Amino acid sequence: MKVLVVDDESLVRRALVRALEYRGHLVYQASDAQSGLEIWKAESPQVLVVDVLMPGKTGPEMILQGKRENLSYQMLVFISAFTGTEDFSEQHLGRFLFLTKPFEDIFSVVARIESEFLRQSGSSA
Amino acid sequence: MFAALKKTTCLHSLVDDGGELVLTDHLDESESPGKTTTQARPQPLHRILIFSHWDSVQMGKLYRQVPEASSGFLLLSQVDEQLPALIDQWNQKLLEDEVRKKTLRNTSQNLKELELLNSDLESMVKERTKHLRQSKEEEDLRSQKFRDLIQFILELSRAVSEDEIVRIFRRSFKSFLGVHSIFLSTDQKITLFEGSELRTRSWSKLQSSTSLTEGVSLDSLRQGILPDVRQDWTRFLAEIFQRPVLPVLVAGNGVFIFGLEMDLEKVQIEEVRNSLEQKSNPLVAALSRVRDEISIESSAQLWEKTFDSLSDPIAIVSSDYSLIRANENFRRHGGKKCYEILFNRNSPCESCHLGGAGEVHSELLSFQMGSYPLHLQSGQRHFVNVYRDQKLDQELEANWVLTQKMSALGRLAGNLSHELNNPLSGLRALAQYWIRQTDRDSLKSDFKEIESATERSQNLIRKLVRFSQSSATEDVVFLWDQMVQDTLPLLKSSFRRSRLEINLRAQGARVKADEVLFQQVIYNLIKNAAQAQEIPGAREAWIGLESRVRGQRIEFHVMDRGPGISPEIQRMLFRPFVTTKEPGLGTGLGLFFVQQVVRRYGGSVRFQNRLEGGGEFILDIPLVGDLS
Repeated sequence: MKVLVVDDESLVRRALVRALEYRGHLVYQASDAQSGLEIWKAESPQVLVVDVLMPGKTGPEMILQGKRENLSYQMLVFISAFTGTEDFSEQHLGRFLFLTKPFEDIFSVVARIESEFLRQSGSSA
Repeated sequence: MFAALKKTTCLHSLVDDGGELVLTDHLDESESPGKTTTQARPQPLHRILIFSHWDSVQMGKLYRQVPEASSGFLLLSQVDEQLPALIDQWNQKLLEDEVRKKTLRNTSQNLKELELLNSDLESMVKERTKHLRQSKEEEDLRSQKFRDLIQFILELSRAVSEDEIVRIFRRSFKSFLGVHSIFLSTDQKITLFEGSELRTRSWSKLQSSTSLTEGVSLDSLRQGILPDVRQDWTRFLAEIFQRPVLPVLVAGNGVFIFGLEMDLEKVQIEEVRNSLEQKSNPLVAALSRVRDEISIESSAQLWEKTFDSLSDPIAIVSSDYSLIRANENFRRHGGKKCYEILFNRNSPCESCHLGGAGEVHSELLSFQMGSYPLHLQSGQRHFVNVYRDQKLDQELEANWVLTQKMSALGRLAGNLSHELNNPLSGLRALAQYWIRQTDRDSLKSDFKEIESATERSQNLIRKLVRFSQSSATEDVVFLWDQMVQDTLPLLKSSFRRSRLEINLRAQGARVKADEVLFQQVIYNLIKNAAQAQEIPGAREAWIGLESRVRGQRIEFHVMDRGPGISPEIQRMLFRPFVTTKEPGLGTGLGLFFVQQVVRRYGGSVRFQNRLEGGGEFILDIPLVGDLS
């Protein structure tokens, strides 16, 4: 699984990267939407794990920008410290997994992403 | 012999007087003294029998025949030498008799006349007595009527409604058996009193189908204008009530009209009419008075109600603080003076502003007072005092401040939680990673420490957010002891210098309320207990928490070993903006907030100094449902 993690909070980003790498995935990371877009363009990750609220472009803005530039992904994961108050439905973001911070257990978060990825590739295959 | 006799003067006079002289030798039956020689002759007045010789047998016989000696028989013997003297004597006696008889006759006549006179007098006296008795009866009747009238006026003076006046009026005709019913017609309505029943019809509700007499227009009646034509009224009333009405008395410039329906003799009708005339003035006076009273009373009531509905105390007082009038909110205590009634004091308030404006207060109460002079026609000078309860103002302000504070705190907690959750999430996740990744036990245990610290922090933030969401007022059923436990982590700093002793024994006891509000209550009480012991040189700080179930309520104690609270301050403990803390340490809203919340859910909060020293707050909260 080729994953791009975009989060301005370095501790969260670092933890996610470590946990994903520990599970044997190829992980790229960015601390803001702009550099995230560049890595997305360059490396074509299968999975995007994006923080919603970031300085500069927000997570959803980054995704919409990438879509406009015909970038693609297999699976989208939003992470946020806010719970369910955000309404993305008008933004044509397509399907995504929404995970809320704080995480109780980082490995169960990773496991959740893995199982969802397997389910999606299984259904697309 | 006879000649000699005849010559006797006295005999002559005797015969002249209508007497009879009889000479006889013997006495036979026919010559009995009862008979005279000539039958036709009238009975002589006297008879003198003179015998030629004395024969005692004959004499005795004769004598027996003589009915009575006094009737004029004189028995004489011829031989009697003393005859003339005897005759004179006899004559004298007869004369005397005659005089006596005459006198008797006269006396009897006089007596008769007297008797007649007496009888005349008697009848005169009788006549006079009769007359007197009659006039006394008349007088009695008159005074009875007068008394009745006075009684009538007295009763009228006590009447409080028009209906009652009509009843009294009806009662005053009780003696006239022929008076059946009484009408009273005013510019507003017509009242009929029949038997013991009172019926009222208002003019405005009269059907237009009622055929009205010329001169009485229903429209004018509805406008309160009554016609004053007596005949018209008689007919009009008769038509309204479908029965003859007589007589009708129009009084009070036509505002009040009385009618009687009756069945009386002509004499009695006159009497009733007189009675009516007599009663009309008192009646009109009473009716006018009742009307005035009702209108005064209703306007007075309106004013009183207006004043009573004001939540601010208002009073009219004299210059010596005596209460003249006051609204309900002014009356708090007994007494005659304003300071007694409002403040329960026995002397005027030092801060009184009679005739001015400013703050007036006692230990417990504080008012903004405005006092306005009131000049009466009597020359007296009173003051209208209007008070504004500053406590109410303060409570309103306190509630507003609390709301503001809580919403600011809520916003702050929201932002803070977002800012803290991110790094905490990262820290915890990294710690979790390294716990899994490292083989070094010492490192593993360090990361475990970090992981658990971040977890606690996250929980605390979650609680803080919930705690400060004052807008989320939703009543839920929660376990009391659990709620207390959940609040404690937020108070770590308070417990830093205190020993905490927790004795929660209300297991399973549930309360239905806004849990967050109660967490804030517990928070405030514990915070207070901790602050009460922040005194240099004080004993070891200690906070005791206890809960237990008592009947259908939970009793919760928050105890400290501080200096306790003086009775003066205890009295205003729960008032807003009252604080004994150093400036900057308290807003004086904490305990006010506690009381507001507790009361909202039917509970109570009180403070008492503990016998062991220190103080305690005791909450008393109603339970919900069964204990499980």
